[in-house]
Amino acid sequence: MDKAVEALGINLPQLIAQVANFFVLLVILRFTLYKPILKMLDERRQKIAEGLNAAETARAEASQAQANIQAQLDAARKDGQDIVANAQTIAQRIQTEAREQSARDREAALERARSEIQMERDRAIADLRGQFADITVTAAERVIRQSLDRQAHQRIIDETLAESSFNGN
Amino acid sequence: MKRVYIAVAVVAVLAWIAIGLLVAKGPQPEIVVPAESLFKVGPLHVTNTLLTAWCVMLFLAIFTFLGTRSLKLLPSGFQNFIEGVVSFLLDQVTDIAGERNGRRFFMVVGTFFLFIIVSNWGGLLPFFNAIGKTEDVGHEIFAQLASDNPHKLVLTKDGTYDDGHKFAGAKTDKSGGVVLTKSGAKAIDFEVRKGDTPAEALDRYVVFLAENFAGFKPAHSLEEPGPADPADVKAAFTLLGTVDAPGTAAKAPRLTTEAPSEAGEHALKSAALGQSFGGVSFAESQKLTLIVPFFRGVYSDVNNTLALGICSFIIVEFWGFQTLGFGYLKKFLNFSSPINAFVGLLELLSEFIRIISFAFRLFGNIFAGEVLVLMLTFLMPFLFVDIIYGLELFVGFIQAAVFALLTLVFAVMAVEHHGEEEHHGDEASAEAHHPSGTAQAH
Repeated sequence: MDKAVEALGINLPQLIAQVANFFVLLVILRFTLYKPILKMLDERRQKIAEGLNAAETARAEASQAQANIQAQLDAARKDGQDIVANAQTIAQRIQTEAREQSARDREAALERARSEIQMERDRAIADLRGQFADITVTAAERVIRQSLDRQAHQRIIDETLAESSFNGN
Repeated sequence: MKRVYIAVAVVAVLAWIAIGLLVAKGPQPEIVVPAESLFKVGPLHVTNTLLTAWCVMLFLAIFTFLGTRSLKLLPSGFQNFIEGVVSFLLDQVTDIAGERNGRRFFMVVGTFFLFIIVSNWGGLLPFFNAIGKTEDVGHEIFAQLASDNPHKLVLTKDGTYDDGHKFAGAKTDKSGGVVLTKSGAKAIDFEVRKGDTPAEALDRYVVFLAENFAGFKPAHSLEEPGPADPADVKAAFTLLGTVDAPGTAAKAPRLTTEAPSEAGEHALKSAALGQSFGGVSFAESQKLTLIVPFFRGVYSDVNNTLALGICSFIIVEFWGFQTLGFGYLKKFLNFSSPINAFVGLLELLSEFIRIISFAFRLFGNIFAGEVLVLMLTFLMPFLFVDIIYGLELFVGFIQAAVFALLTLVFAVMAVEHHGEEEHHGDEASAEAHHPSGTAQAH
């Protein structure tokens, strides 16, 4: 064993020195390599996660906005359709009203015309009746004044009629 | 046409290999298993692997500091790379251990991975195992033989060496200072054998020097067992003293008779020559030296892999206790039946065996890779070495991943609930049972 140890050159001080070397290097690398790099890697991972989250949020927001816009568009279209429909209804009503009004007007005019005609006729009839009474009275006067026979009667009436302006008009 | 292309490719490859052999041939590798010491601080030998480990740590600290100094939410360039590495590791860990435990284990597992992979890949850089200081082996061998208390040899009471030692070196033209390994340098080894007395070893050293530096041909090879032939030693000694013509520059090393200057050393008496020597002097341009590279793969040293194994062990056990309190010990000390007791014993043993398997898996892979690269640079520079480099990159990654993942798996096993009475296993109940343990975890 001793021979082997000597042949390989194993000695305690160097062994201890090398063990110490390892731990010194471990401490050095901890501060110059592992800590800063791990910190940086973690930081970057976190940043990326945040970025992805933000992107996700943005995408959700965008789709939300899209949906909003779509909903608004739909509402606007519906409003428009309603307005148009309303307008059509109103137009229809106006048209109907106008038509009814004109019908009523025409009816009224007709009625007025008819009543005027009636009045005109009544007045004409009354006129006629008056004139006819006058003529009758005149004819009666004449008949009474003259002695009457059948032929004389007829001649008087014919004369009276001929004298009156009532000549079948 | 195709044949022409193939022929040209083959010729190009052969030419490439030939050029490599001519100009870039590595030195004959001296495989030294223990890490070579560069200097000493207190009781601690600062070896080249330890120095490299510090460089790796410094590199990682500076690199990561610069990379994470100004982090931005939108990453670019350098930050991308660093974040990629960290999140790759984090994903692997959390895949296995779950989100909560993964965060807890991540830093340790990641440190294992980064430390090992940067060390392994860094070890493939060209200046590793190539630039170093030289060690004067020629003088060192004599000093060791002459020393009363040599640190590389074991001298027993009866004056023989208890254990052999191979002194590796190469003939170089200078020693000391910073050198680059020389292309095609030849390695020569001098072996002190078990049972040699210092005097016998010196005889063999004399023959060895004459053979390698003065062209001496011994009648009996040094490879033969037993002490060197006295006639050979005498002839070798005479040759060493006479090969250089007087007045010209010396080429061969000489043995000197002055008393040694170093404390604890004494003059060494040769068995065959019957003469005492106080030292050996090498000529200026002919020295026997070993290049000790400044940088060597961190995990080609068992100390370092063993230390990592121990770290892994400590941390896993710590997590076990932290999560389960003393209930963690139930896994090992379970006397409900003899079989369970035996299983518990095996579990306990396996915890410690893990350290060894951690240490030798990593060491074996990296050391073998290093030797392979050195051998191939010596045997087949260019091309083949490139392929091995590719393989080594792969091995370096795999070993780092294996070490880190095994630690992770052991940690997951350690913090798991077990035993008959609480067979929940899920996180929620773990929290409910041990609120204090999990509170500390964060």
